[in-house]
Amino acid sequence: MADRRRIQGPEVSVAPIILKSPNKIQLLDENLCRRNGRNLEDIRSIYLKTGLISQANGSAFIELSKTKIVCGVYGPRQTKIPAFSGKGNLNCEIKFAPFSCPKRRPPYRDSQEKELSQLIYEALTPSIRLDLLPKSTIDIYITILENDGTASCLAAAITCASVAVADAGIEMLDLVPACSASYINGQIFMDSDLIEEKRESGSLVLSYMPSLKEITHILQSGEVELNLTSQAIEQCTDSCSKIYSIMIDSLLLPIQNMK
Amino acid sequence: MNVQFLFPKPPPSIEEVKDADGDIDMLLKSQRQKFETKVVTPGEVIAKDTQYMRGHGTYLDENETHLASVAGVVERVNKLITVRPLNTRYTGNIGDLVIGRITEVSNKRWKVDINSRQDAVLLLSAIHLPGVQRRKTEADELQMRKFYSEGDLLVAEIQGSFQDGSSSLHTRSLKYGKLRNGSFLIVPPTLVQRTKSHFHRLDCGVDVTLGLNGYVWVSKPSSRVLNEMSEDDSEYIYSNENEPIGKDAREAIARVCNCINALSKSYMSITDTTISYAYEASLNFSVKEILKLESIELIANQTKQRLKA
Amino acid sequence: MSSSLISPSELDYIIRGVDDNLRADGRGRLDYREVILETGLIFQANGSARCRLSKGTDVLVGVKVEIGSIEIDGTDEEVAAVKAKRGRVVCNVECSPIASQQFAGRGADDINNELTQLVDRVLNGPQGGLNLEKLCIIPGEECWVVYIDALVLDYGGNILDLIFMTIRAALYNTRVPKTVIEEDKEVEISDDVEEWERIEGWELVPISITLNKIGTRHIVDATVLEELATKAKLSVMVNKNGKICGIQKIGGGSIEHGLLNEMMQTGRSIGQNLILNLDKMLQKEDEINAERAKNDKIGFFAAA
Repeated sequence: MADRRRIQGPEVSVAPIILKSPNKIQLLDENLCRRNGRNLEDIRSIYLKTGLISQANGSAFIELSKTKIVCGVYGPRQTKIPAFSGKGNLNCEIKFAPFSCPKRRPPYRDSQEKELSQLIYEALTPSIRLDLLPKSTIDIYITILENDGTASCLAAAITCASVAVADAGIEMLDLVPACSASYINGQIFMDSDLIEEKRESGSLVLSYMPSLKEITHILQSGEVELNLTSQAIEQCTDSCSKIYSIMIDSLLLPIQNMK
Repeated sequence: MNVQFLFPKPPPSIEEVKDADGDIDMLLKSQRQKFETKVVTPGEVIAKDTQYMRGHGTYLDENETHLASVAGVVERVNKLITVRPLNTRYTGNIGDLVIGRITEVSNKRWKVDINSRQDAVLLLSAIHLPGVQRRKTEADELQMRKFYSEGDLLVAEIQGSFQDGSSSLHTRSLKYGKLRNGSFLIVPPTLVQRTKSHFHRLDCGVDVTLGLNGYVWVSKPSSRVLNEMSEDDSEYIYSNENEPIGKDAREAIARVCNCINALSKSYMSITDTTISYAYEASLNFSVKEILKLESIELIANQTKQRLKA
Repeated sequence: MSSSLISPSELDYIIRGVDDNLRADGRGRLDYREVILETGLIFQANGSARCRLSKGTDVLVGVKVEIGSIEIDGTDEEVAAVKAKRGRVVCNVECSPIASQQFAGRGADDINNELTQLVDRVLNGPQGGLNLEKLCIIPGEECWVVYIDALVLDYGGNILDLIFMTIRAALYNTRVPKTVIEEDKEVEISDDVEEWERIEGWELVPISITLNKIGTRHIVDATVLEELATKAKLSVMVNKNGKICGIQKIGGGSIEHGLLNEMMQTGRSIGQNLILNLDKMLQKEDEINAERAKNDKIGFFAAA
């Protein structure tokens, strides 16, 4: 793509990834413990904070060990399109920062980012009360600052965006936590990082509204047995409930600081 | 001229109390006991009774339970339950005083940005026309920019609202109209409370106009007393010229602006009392020192203590 | 929020304030706001840093070093010979739509392009300070390509100065892997992270000071409203030794000759002062980072 406005790097560049032979990395030890001390069904500890972007109406930042994602929400504001719409418009945009992945990503939006934006739109729309916002638009902008596992990035982005929308005071039916899992050798690894992701035969991303007990989005890839899938969905919904309480605490933190 | 670099400060640590099943009980749970001061997040159950009527920020599900739809504080007035969100776009109510900026000039009306979901509308028939009780003429329609042009700041009252959520403003009295001789600030709308008057004159000789939509105007008091009947005065309210402002007045205005910023960063509500206390607490520092984070903390703490006393 | 409109009376207030050396927030014409600096936040990147003004502009820079091929420049033999022994620097600046309403959709394209070209012009070349010869692996074939990516996360005025400050801090933080060249021209990268070296020449990387002409005077570190009142901006790029590494005028206004000289002098002295303070801070960061690595790192948006 001849993008004349940018300074093009070389056509081919290679990240100096230290190539230890893949067989040397053990994902599990004898006690079924993962590399950083986690069990199969443990998710990484989450840090969530709201209200850091002064210009946005609502914002949130999420960090799960190495993954870091920022989300800003603008709205509701007037829709520029003259056509009347009885309910509000939701616009999601996700972007990977060029330095976020092991191999540098080019600055323009590629098809993967467009697809992820669509997925996040589908995950969040059922939870937001767009019927109360005629002629208005809500814009959600997500930037992934560091990526440690693409499926878990998508899940964390959904969580982060949901908290940012709540921080903006927009009416919602419920918060939407999301969680991911990988299928490796017939076992379910919850919230896998980049190294574990390379060995997976399938992955699952699930977003769930705990109070309404409804799943807003599910995406599975790879060839998997049905009962393994059901088990993974169970584990994901459990993890989502844990993530839910963290989301609540991060939203209520400003009140505590006020007192 | 020295550029100061700082380290980021770690957040204040929250005491963690573990309860019976090893779950960490965040401090807030104990504060959620009482119904009235309950703090909720979207999807949380507020009440299972059907006797309550639901207001803003709540919705009913199939089992007829009341659930919150925003993160905020539950308020109950007799049988009406509402949830007041912590951080939200300003929604106009009739009679509110707001400050707005003109974004567009169109046929017989202006579009005004008031930090709300939709831009508000200011009709040509809703402004104070120069001259004694003059009626709108066709010449006025063609010269709308003579009154308000794009970018102008004005203070107005909300006259009514349309169904899609946009408000309609008016500036019929002389106390409303274009703003001059001062400086503009934005604070979160939830920090400005509804009081009897929103035009405050502080002891330090500075006028503060607090718009309920979070827009604030800090200015030097006008030396001109306006008279409804005088034609000159009615022309004057649309002038763009500032009066000369001396260095002392400018310093006082800057100091008040920084104090209001300090209050807003510390999530304290902004009223004439809190601004006066913050102003007095800030006299220990020079005006530009109030911009520093440590000074902001000190001023906020002192103001909180005085409020409690 | 209509972020690009200002009323005539506000404009007048700002211009007179600047004239009186008392700006809207009480600062003098040449006073800078406090900058909060952190380095080493992004593990995937070889170096990273973040600078922000409290509730104002926030810039994050990540530096990645990757192996690339050297371009064969067929036109001039001498130039080609020089280029064959050097590494390369590729810059990119992006204003995220999160930062401000005006950056939504295609709104940021123009400013992204302008800033990218500006940064690239300063960093690519001898004035950029970096020792490109050291970045060459196999002359004529392979070299290190240094990708510098800046991301603006929040907009509160004065983006360009913060971008350069953060780039300098990120380059200080960057470590380039050590390479060993085998006989058959295979490049082996050393596993040992401790052996990775700092980029040579980081201390000569220039920073910029942007002076805004308001009325007949100039100010430094403008806020959003002050930028709207500016007719012309002058960015002066200066390095540690006081050499001017670039000058650019931005905006639709014009600057008188005498004022131009004054602005360049001011830019240079403030710039050197800024570099001194920044370097002191970066050294302290190293000590603190070593300590932080032992305890749990705080979430990077944790601070005020």
